[in-house]
Amino acid sequence: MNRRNFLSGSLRGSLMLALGGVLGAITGRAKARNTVWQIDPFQCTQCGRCATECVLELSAVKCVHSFDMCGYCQLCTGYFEPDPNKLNTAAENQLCPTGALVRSFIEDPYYEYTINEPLCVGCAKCVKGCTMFGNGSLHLQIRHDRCVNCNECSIARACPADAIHRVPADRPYQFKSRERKS
Amino acid sequence: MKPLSQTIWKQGSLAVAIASGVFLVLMGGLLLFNQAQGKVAGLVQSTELVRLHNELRQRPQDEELKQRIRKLDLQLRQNSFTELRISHNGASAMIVVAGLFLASAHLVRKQRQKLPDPLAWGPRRPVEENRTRLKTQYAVAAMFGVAAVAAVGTSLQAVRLPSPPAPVQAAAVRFPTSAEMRENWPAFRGFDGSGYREVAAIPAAWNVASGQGIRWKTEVPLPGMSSPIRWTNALFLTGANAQSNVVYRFDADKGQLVWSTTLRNPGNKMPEPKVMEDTGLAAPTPVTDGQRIYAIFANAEVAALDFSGKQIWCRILGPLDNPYGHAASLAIYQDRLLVQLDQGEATSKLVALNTSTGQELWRVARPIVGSWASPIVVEVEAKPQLITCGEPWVISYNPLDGSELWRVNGLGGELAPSPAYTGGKVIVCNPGSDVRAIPANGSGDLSTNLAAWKTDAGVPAVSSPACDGQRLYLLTGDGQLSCLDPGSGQVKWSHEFKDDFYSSPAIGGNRVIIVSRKGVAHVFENADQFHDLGQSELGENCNATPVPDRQCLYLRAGKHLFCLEESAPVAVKSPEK
Amino acid sequence: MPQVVAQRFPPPQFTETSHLLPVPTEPAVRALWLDYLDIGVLIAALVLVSWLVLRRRSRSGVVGVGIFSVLYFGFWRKGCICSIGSIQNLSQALFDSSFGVPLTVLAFGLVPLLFALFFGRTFCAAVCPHGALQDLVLLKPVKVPNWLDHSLRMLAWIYLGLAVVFAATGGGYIICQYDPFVPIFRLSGSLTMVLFGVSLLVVGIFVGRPYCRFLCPYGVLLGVAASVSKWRVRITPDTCTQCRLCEESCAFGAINKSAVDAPSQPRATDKRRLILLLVLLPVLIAGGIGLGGLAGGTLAGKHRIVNLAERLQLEESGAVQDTTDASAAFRAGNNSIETLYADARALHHRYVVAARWCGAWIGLVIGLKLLSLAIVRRRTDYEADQAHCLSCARCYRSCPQELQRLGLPVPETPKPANG
Repeated sequence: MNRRNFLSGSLRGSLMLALGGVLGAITGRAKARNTVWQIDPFQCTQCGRCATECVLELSAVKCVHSFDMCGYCQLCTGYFEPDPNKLNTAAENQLCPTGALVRSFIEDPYYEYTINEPLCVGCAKCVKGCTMFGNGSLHLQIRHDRCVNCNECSIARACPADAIHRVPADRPYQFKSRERKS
Repeated sequence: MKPLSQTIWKQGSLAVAIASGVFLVLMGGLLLFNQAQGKVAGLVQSTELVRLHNELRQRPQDEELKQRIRKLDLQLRQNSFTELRISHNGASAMIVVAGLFLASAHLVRKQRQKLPDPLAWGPRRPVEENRTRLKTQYAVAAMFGVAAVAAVGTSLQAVRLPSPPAPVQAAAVRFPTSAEMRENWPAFRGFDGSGYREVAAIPAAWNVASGQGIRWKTEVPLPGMSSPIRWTNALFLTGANAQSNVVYRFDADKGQLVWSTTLRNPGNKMPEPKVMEDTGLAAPTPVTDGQRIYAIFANAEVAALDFSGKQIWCRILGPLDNPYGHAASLAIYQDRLLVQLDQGEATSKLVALNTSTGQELWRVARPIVGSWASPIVVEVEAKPQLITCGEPWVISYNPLDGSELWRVNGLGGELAPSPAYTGGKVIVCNPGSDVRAIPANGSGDLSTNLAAWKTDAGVPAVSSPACDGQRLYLLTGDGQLSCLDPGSGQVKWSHEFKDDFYSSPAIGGNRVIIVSRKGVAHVFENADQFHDLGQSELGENCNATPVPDRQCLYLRAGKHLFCLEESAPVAVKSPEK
Repeated sequence: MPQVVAQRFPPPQFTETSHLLPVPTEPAVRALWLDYLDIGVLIAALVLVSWLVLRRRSRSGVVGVGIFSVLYFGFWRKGCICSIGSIQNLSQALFDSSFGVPLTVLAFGLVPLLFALFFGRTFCAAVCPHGALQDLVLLKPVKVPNWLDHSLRMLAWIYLGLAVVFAATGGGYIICQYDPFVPIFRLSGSLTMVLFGVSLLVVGIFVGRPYCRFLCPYGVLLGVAASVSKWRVRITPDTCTQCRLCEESCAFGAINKSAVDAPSQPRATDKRRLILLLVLLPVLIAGGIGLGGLAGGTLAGKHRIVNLAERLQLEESGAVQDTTDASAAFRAGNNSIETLYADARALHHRYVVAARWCGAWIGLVIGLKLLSLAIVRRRTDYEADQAHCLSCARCYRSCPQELQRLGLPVPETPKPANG
């Protein structure tokens, strides 16, 4: 019995050394803060998978608006169907499937477009319209009040443009902006 | 515990367990059904809604249709959000009830638990236990077999990657001399993109109906906005439809179609790119180096064909996401085929392909929002420069390695006119604003330097400038033609043609030709005063730039390729008063 | 140098109103102290369970902590942060020197292993929400035949090898992708994974903890650590009387019976078998290496870049007629296709190498398992199998000595049947 105890004791010691080795190898790179997932809006190709691939039924990805890039256009290509019937808020003219993009008159000829977040499903239809024909001020972001920060983001796995990466938690958003670092 | 309360416990927990178990099964079924409804996906990808929207585009006044769309839209939203709610609430309820089920079921189990009775098991049978041990060993060994079968099975689907490229052998290629390039018309608007040919015979007028002045006229099978190019007696054109991208070779003397080659295999094509009708699927003009012809189409399929029509290589640099459709023509320098692909700030790029293999030699990202202008290759102080225009930069690159030589900021709008080069200056059009001349021998960011000259007279929006070194011709979309001094930018004269133009002017010797979109050609003198020489109709629309030649003029119109020559008697119209 | 993005439409110039441009909101990230709380709860729960199992010998205590873990690590933390998944982060960090690991992941990966070295698999008993959940649904345990139990347990070793291969090559976290219970904790997930999880739970009503025993890759590591643990679960508080009452009390097949003298199988046969298996060991390892090489090429296809390169190659050669979103996005970007091919070839090579190692691992593990099955240990007592015992404390009360210790009525002890 003693021999067995000695054997298991020394094995235990060596396993502890191994654990210590792993710890030593990694500790140098250990970060106090966890990182979080975020979309690089400049890499995003608006494929629409953010709406359907999230582990949450209503995706953690939502559309956000960088107002400083917006042209406040009357004919917003993110808001309106291509070739809209009329420039009004009727359902047949709207691109957004949930009516989450809200259009409000500011002054002639400027309109402001805001996002009603609870309705937004992150389908990127407006983002596509805005990026292709407009200033690209509408873009997608992972909202951290919804994101559960999975170890491996299932949208990132499905993203065809590899646009989703982990970013430091103290800079958890990558908003588009007029000023861009070159 | 009293027997009665014991009974209540016993029966009660059993009843709760059964009831909650039934609930779990039913709820599970409901959620499974609900899951199949698609929820968000069904909302985002409703084909019915897309169909109705398309219908509305056909009948924009149909109020009843609008009502239907609104109703369907509301219904889809309500369904999705209801399904999401059901799913979330149902799952939560299931968890709670599952907890109840487990608690009551454990109670029931506890009450029914029997004590183990080793006596009933009989004595341990060592032989059997040994046999079990052996059986276990075989079973574990079998797991290795299972893993092996799985490994072999999956290896059937192993990925196949392209093998590493063989080093490109330096073939003894002779690049065409500058004189050869000048003698032929190897690219869009000639070898240097100036739209000028020194020795040329542009006929003043012709008559399609009578055949007067028409050397030959051949139908082009597929449409395209691209212009013809010529090398010796071979005249090349491109055309495309949704199914195929085709390159044509015509006989320059007789006009017959020598061959037509569809790129890749028929029907084997990238998804049809969305393009506007005014751009089409074959807008870029091909280019040739005298050995091969290179063509690009709206789906960014680039190919090299030899002069017998055999495809040497073909590759796809797209698909492109261009709101109008890809329009920039190809450029060539020695063994480098230069492809400008401007489609958006994050994706605009310039790619150089090896002309003999199609292999990529270099690529640079371009900070360009978009452009439809073609690049030109010129020699500045005996060094090659590839000059590109896009919004907002004019950038010059070294065509050998893609390194940037200089850039100038300030182009705006949707940029279609290509640059031109004359006397050390690059002429660029800034639609809706100005035309300017930039000295081409600078380096770095020259945005703050003053332009050699700048003018707001007759700024083209689509047509590219043409220049013979003495005079610079600018043509606006609504027909204002200005003749400028390329050295100073001063307007020598201007003339108003009451017509719409997309194609660029071409200068041949002492004549200039412009062709309107409706297919009306105007020929006038290449001189310091406007002197009209003639006006003729093609009878079909025209967006391609004419190709002046030693003996004749080649012109691609909507359906036909024309070869026009001076005929006697020359039908000269008297100048308009 | 910041550069103003060129824009198609100029920004508005409000003249009539003094409208101010709004800024997008930034919902906050989960607070840092909550991460530390998770580590604290983990350690506290491990200490508590170790004490409950080894000292208090309290099954109801274990159940209580289990319910807490299911609620806290499961439904509240949505099953993510998780020790099982952390294996992958740690392996990726070991193989990729640029890959950083957050403190929580490090703690969740290593602390339970450290505890297992001293107290056995107390993490599995009630701290791991996956284990605790399965423990709660176990209503009517049926005995899995020995041969099936042991062979299915090999799956977990294979799974561990594959998970490390994918994590080390950057090809994704398969443990997370195929986690059966996290979708249940989140109340949402893909249909297949929810169905997988639910069916495992339904099976788990009868078969004790199927995920823990047959699939869990972290359980494999814990088992190794627990097999040399300093303190261990002892079925009886006193000396074993060979009453056999505990024989069926373990739902996880983790009780080793005392040895019985076989009507003497000739020792020569035993010896011959042992030598055979010793020879077989290198054969299995070599076979594993070969098979790994075969499978490596397929595994590589799971990597984004390899997959994309293969797709682009098909498109370029004209073998397929359309593009995928991924190939279109790649072509739209500014990366050269030749560079991608080169990257893909390098990755492919890494996969083949990693898969060979994995094959060797599987061969080694199965070979050693066969050897250990062939060696008969002289065991005098009924004992918990240290590697497989999940410290659930179910067996304690089956022992009459324990009942006696607690002052509970002791059922009539049958005579030892093999006496």
